[in-house]
Amino acid sequence: MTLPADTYFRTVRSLGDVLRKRQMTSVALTEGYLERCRTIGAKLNAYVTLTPELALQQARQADDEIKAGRYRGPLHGVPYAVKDLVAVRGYPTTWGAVPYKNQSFDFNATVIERMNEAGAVLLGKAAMIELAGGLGYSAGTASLTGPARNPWNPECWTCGSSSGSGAIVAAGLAPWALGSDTRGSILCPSAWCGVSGLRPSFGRVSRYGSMAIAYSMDKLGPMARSAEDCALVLAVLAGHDPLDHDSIPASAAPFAYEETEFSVNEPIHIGRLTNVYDKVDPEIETAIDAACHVFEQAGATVERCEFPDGPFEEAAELTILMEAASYFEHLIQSGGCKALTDPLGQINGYVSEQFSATDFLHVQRVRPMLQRLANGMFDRYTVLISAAQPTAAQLLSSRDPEHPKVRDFHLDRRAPDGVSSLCGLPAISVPCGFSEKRLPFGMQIMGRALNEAAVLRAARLYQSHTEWHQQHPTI
Amino acid sequence: MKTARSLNDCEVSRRKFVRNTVGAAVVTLTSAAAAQQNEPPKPEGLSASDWGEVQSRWANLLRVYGERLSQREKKRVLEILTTNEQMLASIRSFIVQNSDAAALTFRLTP
Repeated sequence: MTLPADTYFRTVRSLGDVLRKRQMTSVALTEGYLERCRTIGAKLNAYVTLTPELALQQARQADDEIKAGRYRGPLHGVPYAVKDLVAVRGYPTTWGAVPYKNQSFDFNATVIERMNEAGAVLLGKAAMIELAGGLGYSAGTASLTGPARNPWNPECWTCGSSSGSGAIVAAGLAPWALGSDTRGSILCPSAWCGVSGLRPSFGRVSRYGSMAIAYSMDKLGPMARSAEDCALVLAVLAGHDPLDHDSIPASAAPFAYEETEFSVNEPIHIGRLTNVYDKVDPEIETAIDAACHVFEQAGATVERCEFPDGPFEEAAELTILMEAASYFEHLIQSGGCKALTDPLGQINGYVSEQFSATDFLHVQRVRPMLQRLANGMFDRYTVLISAAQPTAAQLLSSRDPEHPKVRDFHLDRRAPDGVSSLCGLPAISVPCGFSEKRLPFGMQIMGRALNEAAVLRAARLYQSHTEWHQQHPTI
Repeated sequence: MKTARSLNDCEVSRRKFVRNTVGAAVVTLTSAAAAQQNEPPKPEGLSASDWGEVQSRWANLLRVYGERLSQREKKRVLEILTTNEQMLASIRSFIVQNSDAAALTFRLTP
């Protein structure tokens, strides 16, 4: 059965509805997506491994259960992809890196078990930057599967490290994909690929069974066609897991999908950050200004503001360097890092091993001070908005790992995602416009810790008044 | 002597730090032999003691992993060490008191 082409760009909500009403079968939908994954996905280097046997088994089960009236919820029968740092029993989990290309685990990560319980259908493992950038990288080519190509312009990169996940959602190769974000790895590809990507609060989603690079900063989150879809998925993923040491306790503020529905009785006070980047593409600034106008027309208040100064970026970068040196200790000390693709990744671990324990502790003792500074902003504002990235997607050819200017890549200032990552804050990137060259722009919406509801509420409000998120490349 | 400062009166802005870092991270070595035998010049913006720490760490890195590295890589790791030192200097400018706990938790598991 051949489905109309626009089927593959429908939202999770929409597809879940038609499956529930049995207007379409999960098997037909899954077969259609798998075919796109094999053809379009291969051209974009979007997947590492497809899981067709598992996908079709899950799709058949979903159809049988729905037919029998055993409906599991809005994700029942809906396909998805998962970044290849999440363990799936019976399939390779390569971490995007040559040294681990044959690695597999005999268990499912917690997020996979939750998706199985929800009746979702796994299409495959999404391509990624090697080790999610844990040992550093300087170009989009730093991957076992080559550079993930941007569906809006395949000569451009998707950004990373959830590079494949960004390409998959943008190109209609799955309705949503799970990514990870330690310092912008969901937010950046979401911006450059024109999709909605949510990085939840630290501890909101279990990381059990997923690769760690900086355990005090790693988070998993959904990338999808809309903020509403992100909310639907998060409602399934979120929840305490005793297997994750940093999982938010069950007694802490739970996440409820209903709290993301905007209401005219709950005004949103927005702070429009003006000092997060030294230089932003003027087209993006114009798009953010236009977004502010949309918010005001929708009843929100918007006020220009500055984020307080502090060594946020230094603390984020140092934390990642130091923790990754421990998590990849064996790879570094054995010399296995030589097999990594990126010249920076091949040697950076040796450097990071030179940090001392007092170096690490000093950073971690400054970190709560920075958290308090960041939290203070939310005494006045419900959410903070800014450009998600200072530019649109860049050409793959513009980043030669050997070029001297590229050597400072790990110092690139992705300020709002770095700040929010360090402080464990939730943030979403949503599409807010296009460049003259038809490359998407992203707007980041950041909220107080554990207040994903406010972030999603603002994003859903914006998307109820705009159509940027409904656009997709012609593929 | 470092003066204690709080984050409320911080003078190190992210913008200033990055501008300085981009300028200071370019370490010019005259030749590959200089990377190993001659003392490389102290980059601008790094104190003498911080540069001493960079050199000490570089020497240790070469002692442990030198055989694995090409001459170009030896030069490159020195650049990265210098950049890391710049970031550490920024963090260290915030004096922590005895009562300032780390963002690390140890949980009891009954």
